[in-house]
Amino acid sequence: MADAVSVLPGLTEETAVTSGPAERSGAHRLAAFEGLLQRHLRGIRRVAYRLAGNVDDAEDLLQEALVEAFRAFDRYQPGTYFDRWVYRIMTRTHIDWVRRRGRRPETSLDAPVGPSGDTLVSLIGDTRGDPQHLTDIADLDGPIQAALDRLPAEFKTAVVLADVEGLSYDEIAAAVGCPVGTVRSRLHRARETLRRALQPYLMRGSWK
Amino acid sequence: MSRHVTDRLSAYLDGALGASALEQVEAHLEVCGSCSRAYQELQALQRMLRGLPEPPLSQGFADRLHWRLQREAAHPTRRGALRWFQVRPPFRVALACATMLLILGLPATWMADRLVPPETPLDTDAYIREYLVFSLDQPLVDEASPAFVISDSFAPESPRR
Repeated sequence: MADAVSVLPGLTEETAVTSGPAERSGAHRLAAFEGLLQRHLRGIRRVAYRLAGNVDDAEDLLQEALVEAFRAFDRYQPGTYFDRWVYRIMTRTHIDWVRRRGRRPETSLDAPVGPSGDTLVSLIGDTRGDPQHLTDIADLDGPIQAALDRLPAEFKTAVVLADVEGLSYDEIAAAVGCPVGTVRSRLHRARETLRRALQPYLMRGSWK
Repeated sequence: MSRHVTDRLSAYLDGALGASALEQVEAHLEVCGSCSRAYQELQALQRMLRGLPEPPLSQGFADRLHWRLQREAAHPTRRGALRWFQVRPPFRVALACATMLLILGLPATWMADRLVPPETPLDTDAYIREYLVFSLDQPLVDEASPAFVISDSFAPESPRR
């Protein structure tokens, strides 16, 4: 990924000879943008994936948010956190998506999740099931993501930025454009919902 | 035992409680098994979320993204022109209502003008001609009229009851 998103190798020299100032300026902007993107790509990609819930939607979200960020790149203040700035654009894009699609859960309760292909009902809703076979976080990726996907978009955003990315309340508030008190309340409710949904797995395995 | 502190455990986990609340929560966790277990589960949940595997992306994604950005750099979208149309949801509803009013209101106003018959001015000449034809035997002013008008004008007002 990082190799493919190049900083326009060769292209800048070519455009410097054959094109006018507007094109050269565009190429320089792109080079600067991709340079920052390379440094912060891991976190940005992780947030996109956890917000979207699957690879296809994550790529769409990532592409839309990054193109949007590039269009607004003139407003980015050099020296500030590039990833936090992109998160702000990405969370807004994601919430717009969810509103357009309606507030239904993106993952069906009967859809197979996780590497074993179990349904969400059997993995999360039914606490009588024995989760002993799920002993690794990688195995739990499906159920955890399914539980995340059932949260309202604003709650999911808060918990992803706080617990997956480790952002502070202030940083989350700036990213989603709401007061710190709202972040705190959303985080409490999101974590409480996740704790109840994933309770059968929480006190087992290496994360205990 | 003091009341349960489950609603403050998330802030406690983040170290975001004030000194007084922190003291209360810690004192309660010492004695309450249920809250203590909930706190341990929250800690485990956070460790699980932080330990989630790196997401995979498809092979050609980086190239597609690079191509999109390159195209955007060569032909930037005129954001200024588009931003005017990007309004927040409450304003979208208002904008939609205003548009509907405009779309439906203008034809309605136009139709109303045509549905109501226009007021034609009184054709005095035609009225007099018609009167002369149909009332030859009953002239407009007869002998009794002046007497009636005079008697009516000078009649004393009757007292009100």
